[in-house]
Amino acid sequence: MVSHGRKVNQFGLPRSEVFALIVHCGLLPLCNICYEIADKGLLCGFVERWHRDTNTFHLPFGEMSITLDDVSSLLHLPIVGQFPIFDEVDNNEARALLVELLGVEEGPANAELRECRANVVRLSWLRERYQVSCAEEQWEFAARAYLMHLVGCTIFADKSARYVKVCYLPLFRDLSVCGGYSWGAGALAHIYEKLGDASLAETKQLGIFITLLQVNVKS
Amino acid sequence: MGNRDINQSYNEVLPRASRFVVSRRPSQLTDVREQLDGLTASDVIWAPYDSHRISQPYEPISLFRGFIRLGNTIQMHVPDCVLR
Repeated sequence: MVSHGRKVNQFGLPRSEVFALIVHCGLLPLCNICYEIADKGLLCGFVERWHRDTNTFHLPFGEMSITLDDVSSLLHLPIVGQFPIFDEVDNNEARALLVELLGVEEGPANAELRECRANVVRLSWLRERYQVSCAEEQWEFAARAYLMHLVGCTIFADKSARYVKVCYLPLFRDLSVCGGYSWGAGALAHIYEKLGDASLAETKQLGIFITLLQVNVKS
Repeated sequence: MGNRDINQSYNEVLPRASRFVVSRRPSQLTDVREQLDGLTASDVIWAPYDSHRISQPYEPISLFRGFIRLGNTIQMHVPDCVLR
């Protein structure tokens, strides 16, 4: 069980040039709301009650679940718009995406993919790319690196705890339209799947949602 | 449930998640199981966001029943099957 909250909080808000590019992308509320600690006992307790066939928690008096309304109210992510849809990528496509959308040279892009042994990149590598692109004043590249890091730490986190899938990158191809995605629905689909895996690899985001249930239940 | 505190500086303009501070004392799984087993419908706050609608209005799409999608992940969203 991993919390990326500290990474997001320490990384902070982007520079003003980058901020201007992504202010309408719908994801910025995530910058300020990450919990740094996961309450393992509480999360495990709820995961035990999750049924993947119905996507609900089975409780003594009936079923409860996490809904789009919860995502909207807790995280302020948009829940209207297109579903975030993309295809899985192979190694060549992943390299091409890193070159095209993050402005990485072929050599370093290959090196990173080899290092990770899959079509993923490290969160720490994205933080470096953000700094490099800022130094070069390549604001679009910096903005995409920033957003990839943000979603990798929050709504699309997985149990690897270190990596983000490159296949999310095309969602940020056109920064002016990525605010039209229903990030909330995507985040919820991801959470349902991860809860279903019952992998005990809850992410911080899951922690946030679970806290919702804490809210719902009077102590 | 759970060890968490209310953030005193929270106001309803912020996402509701920031209203809470997670405690450094983790819950014990055995306690959580006991609490969940003892839950009744009257223990639950069924409309937790009423005071929050001023900053994040209710979206009717929340009642959407069907499949939600992220990439190749497709999951059923059934708000009408749950009690809230």
